[in-house]
Amino acid sequence: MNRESKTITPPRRKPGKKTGRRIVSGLIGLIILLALVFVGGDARNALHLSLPGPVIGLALLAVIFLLVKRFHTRSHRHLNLRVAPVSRLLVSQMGLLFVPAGAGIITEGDVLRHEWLPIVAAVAGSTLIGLITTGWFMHRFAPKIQLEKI
Amino acid sequence: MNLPDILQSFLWTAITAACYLAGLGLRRLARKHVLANPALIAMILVAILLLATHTAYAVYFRATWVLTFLLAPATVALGIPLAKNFAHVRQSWSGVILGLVAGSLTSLLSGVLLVRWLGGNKELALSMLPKAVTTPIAMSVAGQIGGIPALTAVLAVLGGVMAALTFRTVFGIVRISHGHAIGLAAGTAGSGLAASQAAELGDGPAAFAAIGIGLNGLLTALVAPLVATIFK
Repeated sequence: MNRESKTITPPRRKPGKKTGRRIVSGLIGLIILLALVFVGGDARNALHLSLPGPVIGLALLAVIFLLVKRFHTRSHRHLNLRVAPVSRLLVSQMGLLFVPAGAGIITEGDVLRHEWLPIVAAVAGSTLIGLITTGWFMHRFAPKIQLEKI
Repeated sequence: MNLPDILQSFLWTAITAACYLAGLGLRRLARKHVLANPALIAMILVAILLLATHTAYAVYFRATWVLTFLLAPATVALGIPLAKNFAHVRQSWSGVILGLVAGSLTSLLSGVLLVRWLGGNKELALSMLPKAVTTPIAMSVAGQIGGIPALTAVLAVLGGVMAALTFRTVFGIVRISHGHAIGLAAGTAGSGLAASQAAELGDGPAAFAAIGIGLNGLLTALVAPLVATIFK
């Protein structure tokens, strides 16, 4: 994540003078993201999908981004300038946003006390199984040209 | 507490932010060790404060609505890293698709089966189901299929920590040195936490980890309701 964000960061400007403009374009970016949340929610209700609204919004954003990148460079630049910085901020500090929901664990004390063994075993086991399976299939079927050492 | 609603909202949101900042500080002190996860630290601090001040969880949750509200646009924002790294999929699409589908399904099914086999109840199994994907998606999927979102949030963070701590050792043991495979696996099985560790291996692994997070989020949201109906 860190490495990637470094490459996207626009060239460093003098602080202060353009801060206002950056806040405005960040807010426009946030409004675009919120619009996609609602579009996703409406699409979910209209088409009776089982996908959560924000996940539909995620797919829409990725598709729109790829389409304008391919067919309309100017809109891509606009979109990138407004949505990318606020997206980077939201994704990198996402942890803060799910603290209230996660703190709800205090109401689940009974589950934790009685079922700690299945919890620990299933989290550890299925995470390891998922890691190895994904890695093995990718290792087996992806082109071997770009082998990289750890 | 009988504070006015706005004041209470402000207070609890500020307290949550302060707990998160404390978590970020602790992570810096621990030299970015995976175990020092700021969200997990903040959850523990908030939980202690709620218990100490005898505040009902429902009151706290209502007061911090701004943070929960922002989770939805933050989930949409995951589309940007997915789109920016999508060009990589074209070079090795067969590996990505096979790895993703196989890894996603095995981790979904093994989670549920392990819980059931070890005597966990149905609610726990359904909360375990989407835990490999990025926390906000995991939580909304859990809510949809009848799991407990708060439990899923904790399970997702624990799974991410587990993946981040072990993936280098695991791939050393099974002799997989393909950087892109390691990145994709970290993103698919360990979401953001493992992805940020994989990103330290280079730009290739970082890109494939971002793809793993995004695509597994989509795939799990699609498949989890189907798997859930089988186990009901």
